[in-house]
Amino acid sequence: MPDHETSELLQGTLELLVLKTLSLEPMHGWGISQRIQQVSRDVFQVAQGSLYPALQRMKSRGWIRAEWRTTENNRRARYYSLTPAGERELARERRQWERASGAVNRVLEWAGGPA
Amino acid sequence: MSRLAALREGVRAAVFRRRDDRELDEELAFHLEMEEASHRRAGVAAGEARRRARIAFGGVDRAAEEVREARGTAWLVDLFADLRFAVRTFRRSPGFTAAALLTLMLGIGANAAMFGLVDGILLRPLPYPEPKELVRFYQASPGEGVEQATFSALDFEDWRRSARSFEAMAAFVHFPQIVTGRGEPIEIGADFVTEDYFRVLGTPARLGRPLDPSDLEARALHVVLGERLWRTLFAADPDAIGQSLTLNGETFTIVGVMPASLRFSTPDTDLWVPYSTLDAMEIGEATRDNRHLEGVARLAPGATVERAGQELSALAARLAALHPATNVGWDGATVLSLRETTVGDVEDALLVVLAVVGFILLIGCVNLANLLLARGTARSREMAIRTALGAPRRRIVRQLETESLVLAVAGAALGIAASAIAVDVVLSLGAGILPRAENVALDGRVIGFGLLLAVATALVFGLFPAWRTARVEPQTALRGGRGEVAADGGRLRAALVVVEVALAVVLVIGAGLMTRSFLSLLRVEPGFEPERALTVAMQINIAGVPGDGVAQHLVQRREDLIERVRALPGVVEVGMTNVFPIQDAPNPLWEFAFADGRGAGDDEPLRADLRYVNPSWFRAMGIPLVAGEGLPESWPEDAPVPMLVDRTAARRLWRGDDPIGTRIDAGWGEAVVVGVVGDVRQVALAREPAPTVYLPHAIAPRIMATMAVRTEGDPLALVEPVRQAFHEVAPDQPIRSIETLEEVVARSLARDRFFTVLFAVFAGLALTLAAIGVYGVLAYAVGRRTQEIGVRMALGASAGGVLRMVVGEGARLVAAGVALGTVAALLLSRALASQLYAVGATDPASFAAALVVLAAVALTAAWLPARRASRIDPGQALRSG
Repeated sequence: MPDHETSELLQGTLELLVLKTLSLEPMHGWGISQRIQQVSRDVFQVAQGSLYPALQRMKSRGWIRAEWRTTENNRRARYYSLTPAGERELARERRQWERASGAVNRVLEWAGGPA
Repeated sequence: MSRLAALREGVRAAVFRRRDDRELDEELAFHLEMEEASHRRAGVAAGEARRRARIAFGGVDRAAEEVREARGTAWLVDLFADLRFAVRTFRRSPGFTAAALLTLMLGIGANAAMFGLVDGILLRPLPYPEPKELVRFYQASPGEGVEQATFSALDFEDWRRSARSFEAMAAFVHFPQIVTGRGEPIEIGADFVTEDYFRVLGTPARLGRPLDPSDLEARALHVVLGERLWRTLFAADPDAIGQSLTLNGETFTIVGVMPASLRFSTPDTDLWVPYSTLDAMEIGEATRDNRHLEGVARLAPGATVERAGQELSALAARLAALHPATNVGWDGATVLSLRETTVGDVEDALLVVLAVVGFILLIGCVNLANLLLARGTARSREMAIRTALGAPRRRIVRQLETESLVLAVAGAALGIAASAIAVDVVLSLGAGILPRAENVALDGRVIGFGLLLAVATALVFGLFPAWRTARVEPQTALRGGRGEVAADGGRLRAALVVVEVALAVVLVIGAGLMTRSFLSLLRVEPGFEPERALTVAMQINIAGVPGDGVAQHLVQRREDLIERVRALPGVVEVGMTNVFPIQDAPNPLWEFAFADGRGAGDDEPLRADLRYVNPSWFRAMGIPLVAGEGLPESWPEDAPVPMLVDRTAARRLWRGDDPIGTRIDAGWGEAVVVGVVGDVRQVALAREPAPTVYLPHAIAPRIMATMAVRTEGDPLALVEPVRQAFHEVAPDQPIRSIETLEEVVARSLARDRFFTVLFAVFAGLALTLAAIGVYGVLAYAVGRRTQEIGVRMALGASAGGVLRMVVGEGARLVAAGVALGTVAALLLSRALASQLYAVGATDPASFAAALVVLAAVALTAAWLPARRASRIDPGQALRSG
C-alpha cells in the first residue's frame, strides 16, 4: 500500500507503540492513548485524534481486530486486540526500529574524523 | 494483507458504510467522554474539562474523515456512488433509457428464448445411452424417388441376419389398441416390437422389465406400459406389474413400465407389445410385399451411418434380384441417425433463426453505442468539468462503463422475463411442429446465457463510447460545446445504420410474402364446408368379435353409430370415411384398369386415391355432386360395385370422356362409375387435388373410421350429445378425438402460421431496431452540430429548413438501406419460394407494402431529432460556444 511506504516516522512510530500496547492486553482507543502517554512519560504529545485513523489502517491490514465490549463502568466501547499477523508485524517493526535507532545513535555519537 | 482480505474488507466497508460511520461516532464520543471524565477527576470544572478534552483530541471531524479514508475502500464506495449516479442519470433521460432498454430487452430476450429452444431441442442429447449410435433405417425405391419407406418382416429378417454394421436391429409397427376393463374404454397408441427393440434403445425400465427375446419367442401376451399411461390408469401403483390389461379384447400381463423419456415413435405411444402376438388378420399375410414395419438400430462399434446405409442398400438390391415378384424396384435402403430423424426437420431452421437473433443483438449493440455516443456529446461539458476538476480519465470511463452495465443488466432482466413469454408463445404456436418441445425449459443455463450476453453486450456497446466521451479535452469542450468526440466513426455508424435498414427491409418483405401466402391459404376452398361440422375419429372396437364376423361387425357398428347420431336434434347429416381429408395421411395410390381394356398399354397406369365412404358422406361434408347420382344404400349382389370419381379423376383419367357408366376392373371384381363429385383438397390445403375415387365402405370395411356430423348451429353444442349417443349404441367404443372441422383445417395450417408469425415478429424486431438506429445516428449528429445549426438559424435558416435538412440526412441513410435491402430480398426470397402458396417470391405488392412501412417508420425516427434541431435557440447555441 502506497501510504505505508510514504508514511512518516511519527506515524510508523505510533503504529509500533499501538502494537506494543495491544500486545499486553486488548484495550479501547482512549485506553491506548493514555497508556502511550504514561509509558512514554508524556514525551509523545500527539493529537489523540490521529490515533483512530492509525487504528483503522491497522485493522484494514489485519494486524488488529476490533469488537464491542463493556467497560468496568458498564459503558460500551470498542476494544482492539492483536491478531497473529499483528504479532508478527510487531516483531518486524521492533527489529526495524532497533536497527534504525541504533544507526541514528551511532551517527549522533560520531565525533568527526574518518569512520 | 492479501488481496482477498482487502476485497473482503472493502466489500464489508462499502456495504456497511453507514453502520461503520455510526460506530465511529460512538467510539469517538466515548473517547471524548473518558478524556473529559479524567480531567474532572483531576478537579477541573465541567466546561473546562470538555474544552481540554477537545484540544487533546485535536479536531473530531478531521479524525473521522481520516478514518473513513483509511478504510481503503474508495473503489467500492465509488462503485456504489457510480451505480446510484447511473440510476439517477437514467431517470433524468427517460427517452434514452426507454430506447436503450427496449433494444436490450428485444435483443437479449430473443436470444435467450432462441437459446432455450435450441438448447432443449438440439443441444441436449437424446435420452438414450450412447444416443449417437442410434439410427433409423428404411427400405428405399431409388427409381421411384422413395427414400424412406416401411419394409416387410421377411426382408427385415434377411437384413438382420446379414448386416454387419449393426450391434442390434429392431423393427416395429404402430397399431393403436383399445384398452377395456379399466374404466371407460380408451384408445392408446401401441408399438408392436421385435425382440431387440429395447436392447437397441438401451433405456432401462422405470419399473419391472422391458420386453426381451423370450417374450417374442413364446408369443407371450406381455405388455409394457409408458409412464404416462401407468400414472393415469394405475395411479402410479408399483403393484401394476403382474396385473392384466385387455387390448383389443385380448388379455395381456403387464411386465414393466418405461420412463416418460421414451418417446420414440409416435408421441401418443404408451404401450409396447411383442410383434409376434399379431396375427395375419391384424397385419396381413407375411409376404415380402406386406411392408408395414419401421426400423431402429444401434450401430456396431466403429460403424458409420454411411457405411451402414451402403451395406443395407446392397442387401436390399440382392433381395430385389432374388425375389423380383415382390421386391422389384425396392432395391435400396436408407440409414439416418436418430438425431437427424428426430430434429433434422427443424435443425437448420432453428440455427438460422438463432443466427438472425444473434445478428439482431449485434445490431442492437450498434444502436446502443450510437445512442451512448449521442449522449456522450450531450454530456461532453459534464465530462469536461469533471476532468478539469481533476477526475482521472480512468475514473470517468469506469463511471460510464458502470452506466452501460446497469443498462445491460436491467435489459437482461427484462429480456429474460420477455423470453419466458416468448418461449411459451413459440411452443404453443409450434405445438406439433417442434420435436422434443417437452425438453425446452427456461432453466439456469438459459438465464446464465442471458446474463453472459448482458455483460458481453455492455462491454461491446459501452466501452467505445465511454472511451471516446472521456477523451474530451476540457478546454475544447468548455469552449466549443462540441469537443473532439465528433472526430471520426461517423461514416462507420452511418454504414451500420444502412445495414440495419437493409436487414429490416429483407425481413419485412419476407414477413409480407409469408403473410400474403398465409392469407391465400386461408382463402383456399377445401372442396368441403368446414363451418358447422364436427369430426369424430375412432378405431372400431373389434374386441370379442369372432374372426369371420369382423367384416360384418365393422359395417354394422358404422351403420348403428350413423343412425343414432343422425337422430340427434340439431344434426343435419352424418357421414363416415376411412381416411379423413387433410387430417389423415392418404393410403398408397390404388391402381385399376378400364374393364374394356381401354387405356391398357399406356405408359401411365390408372392410379387414384381410393377412399371408402358411406352414401351420406358427401352431404355431411358438403361435397357437391356434379353429375350422375350419389352412392346407393344397396345394390344387387351380382351387379358391379357403384363408384364415384371426382372431377380431377374424370378429367385426368377419363381425359374428358364422360366417366358415368364406365366399368373398371378393380382386381377383386368390377365397379361402375355412377356419378362425379367435386374436388377435395385431400392431403393439405396447399396441395392441388389429385384424382380421387370413392367406393362404398360396405365392400371393404376398415377398422379406422372418422365420422363427419353436419350441424344446424354451433357444432360444439353437439359434442356431449354425440359422446352420449356413442355410449348408448356401443359402450365399448372409445372416441379418439372430437373436434370441429374448422379446428382440423386450422391445425393443418399450424406450420404456415408458425413461420408467418415468427417472420412477422423478427420483422417487427428489425424494424424497431432500424428505427432506433436511424434515431440514434441523427440524434448524435444533431447534438454534435447544435452550434452549427444555431449559426445557420442566426443567419436566417428557418425551423422548417433545419427540419428538412436533418430529415433529408436520415432519408439518405434510409434510401441506401432500402436499396440494399431490396436487392438482398430479391436474391433471398427465392429460398422462401417453397414455403409460399399462390404468391410469387418477388410479389410486387409485398415488396411495395414493405417499403412503404419501412420508409414511414424510419422517417418518423428521423423526424424526432430533426424537430429537436429545428427548435434550437440560436442565441443559446451560440452563447454556449
